[in-house]
Amino acid sequence: MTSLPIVEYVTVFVALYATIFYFLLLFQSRRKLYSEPSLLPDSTLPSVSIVIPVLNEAGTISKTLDSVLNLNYPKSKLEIIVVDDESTDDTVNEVQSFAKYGVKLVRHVHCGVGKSSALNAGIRIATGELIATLDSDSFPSRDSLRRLASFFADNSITAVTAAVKVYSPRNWLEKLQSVEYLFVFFTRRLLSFVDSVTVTPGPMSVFRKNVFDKVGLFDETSILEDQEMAYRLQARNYKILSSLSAEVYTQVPAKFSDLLRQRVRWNRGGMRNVFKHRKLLNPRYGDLGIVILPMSLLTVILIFAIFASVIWQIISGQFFSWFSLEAFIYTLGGIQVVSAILLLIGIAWLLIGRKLFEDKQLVSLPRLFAFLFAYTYFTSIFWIATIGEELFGKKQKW
Amino acid sequence: MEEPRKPFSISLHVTALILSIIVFVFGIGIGNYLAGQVNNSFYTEIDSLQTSNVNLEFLSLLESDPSVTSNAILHTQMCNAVEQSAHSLGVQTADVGRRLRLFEQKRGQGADVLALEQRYFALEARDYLFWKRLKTLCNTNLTLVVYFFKTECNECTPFDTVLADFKKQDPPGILIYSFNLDYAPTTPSTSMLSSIYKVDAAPAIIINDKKLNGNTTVEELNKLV
Repeated sequence: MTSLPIVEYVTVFVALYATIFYFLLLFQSRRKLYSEPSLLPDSTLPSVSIVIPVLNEAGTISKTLDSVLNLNYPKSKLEIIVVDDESTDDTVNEVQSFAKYGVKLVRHVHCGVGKSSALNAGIRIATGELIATLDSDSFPSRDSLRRLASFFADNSITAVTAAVKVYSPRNWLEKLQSVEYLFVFFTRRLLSFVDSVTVTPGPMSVFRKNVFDKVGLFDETSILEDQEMAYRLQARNYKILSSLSAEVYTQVPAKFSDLLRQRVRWNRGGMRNVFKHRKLLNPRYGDLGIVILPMSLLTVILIFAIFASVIWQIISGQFFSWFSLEAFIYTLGGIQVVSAILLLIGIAWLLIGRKLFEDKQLVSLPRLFAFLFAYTYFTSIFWIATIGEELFGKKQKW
Repeated sequence: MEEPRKPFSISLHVTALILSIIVFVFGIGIGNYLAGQVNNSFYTEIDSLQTSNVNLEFLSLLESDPSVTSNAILHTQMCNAVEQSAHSLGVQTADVGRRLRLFEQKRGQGADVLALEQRYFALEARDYLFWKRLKTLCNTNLTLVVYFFKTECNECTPFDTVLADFKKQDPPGILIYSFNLDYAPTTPSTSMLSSIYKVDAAPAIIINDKKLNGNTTVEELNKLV
């Protein structure tokens, strides 16, 4: 490694601190990890409006609506609103075929903005006490809405996120994403214990309707409106919780090019959201402001540092010398030992997380290790593409 | 709905910080200890080769003992035995050198590496002078090559390949001694050899006491042999 020693030391120490922090948080929260509110009886369940924005999803909207209609939520307390954003395929016809089941179709004028304006159009006409936002390629499990709605018996709760999982992963890329999604919602659950949830994911989240009166509707200028809404709620100290049991299954990119496009959007939207809500980087916001958000920024830098180091070693011809025992031994020093300890802790984190998931097949050991090693490099590629698009001023569309 | 912000989880963070410091210091300590052990192993190897002076005794006999100098058969037998032993030590020395190059590449030119390189170059210089003397005494058909290089030297890179190809022609008969001119100011052996051959720039090759500067090829090296 050729970078300044001080940079290496600081980077490794910060990464170590973050990893140990998450471990301690898990240990501290272990007894309440799966503890969620009891399911409310029908009579006390609040009314819910499910808002589903859709644009050319003829392939999936029927399945989404079937899943929604299959929810074990009292039909009298359920309103289903599909907002069509000027689809040009058969989406509208498919949605209209569900009209007899009470599904409302709103024809929205596409403003070139994207999903957020369609969501807002649905929220404006929604009548439920709660608003559930659902992506048109996402399929909630039967009891998910009841589980999420039960959280709202506590008046202090403003939003609850579902456990987003990958729907029927087939190829290696989808299977890697399925591991990623499992750890994301698991981490989100932990962060909810320190009031630091930073995204209300589009596949399924539930909000108290009156919160939109207080903080406003989804930001129509944001390309990552689900995260922007979460930041806005956090800025007002509103409580966001995360469920492990309320499951929603979503489709993910099957091709790397589609995944790259998705992640570049997330990254660009994320950067803009952090800049917009930079006041959250403040001790006033507790763990979120002092540790969680700064750590997430530093993680990006760390990933870049690792990626750049590997590229440099490949260019300088040193990379392949790593595969010799001699080269490994001669490089061994303090930083390398701490990095190795960090790697072991990371592996332990994944193995513990795996133990907590029911579906062991989904997180088989080979897949887990593939995720650990592959994703570092994928994430770097995503960020390099992100910076490239930012530098060349390419307008990001939803 | 608006609740007071939860206080900063100070106990969680303090515990995380303390554990991080402990793990960090432990890891750095272990790493430095292991690095020190690698250093020590190099010292042990180099010192072991350095103290192997059996060949020097034989050299002395070859030079000055009348019973050897006057007996042609005994002289030849002794030459063969010394050559064999010296070759074996030479292979070990070359291996230490190769590993030291890799070590320097990985660790940089810190004080610990510098100290090792000084010891190693002294060993190389002794070896080279030994072989020069033996070549004369035993009329050995050997090619002795001294190669001066520098760490940051673009012109030196092709020389590594040329010398490797040159040595492949006759591995036991071509002995190559490499000296890093960067260390000349602090390494008496390197300084001595560079001043003997009047070398002040890298790369430079001395074959059987003939000097060659600048780019070269295997064919040109063969012409000097």
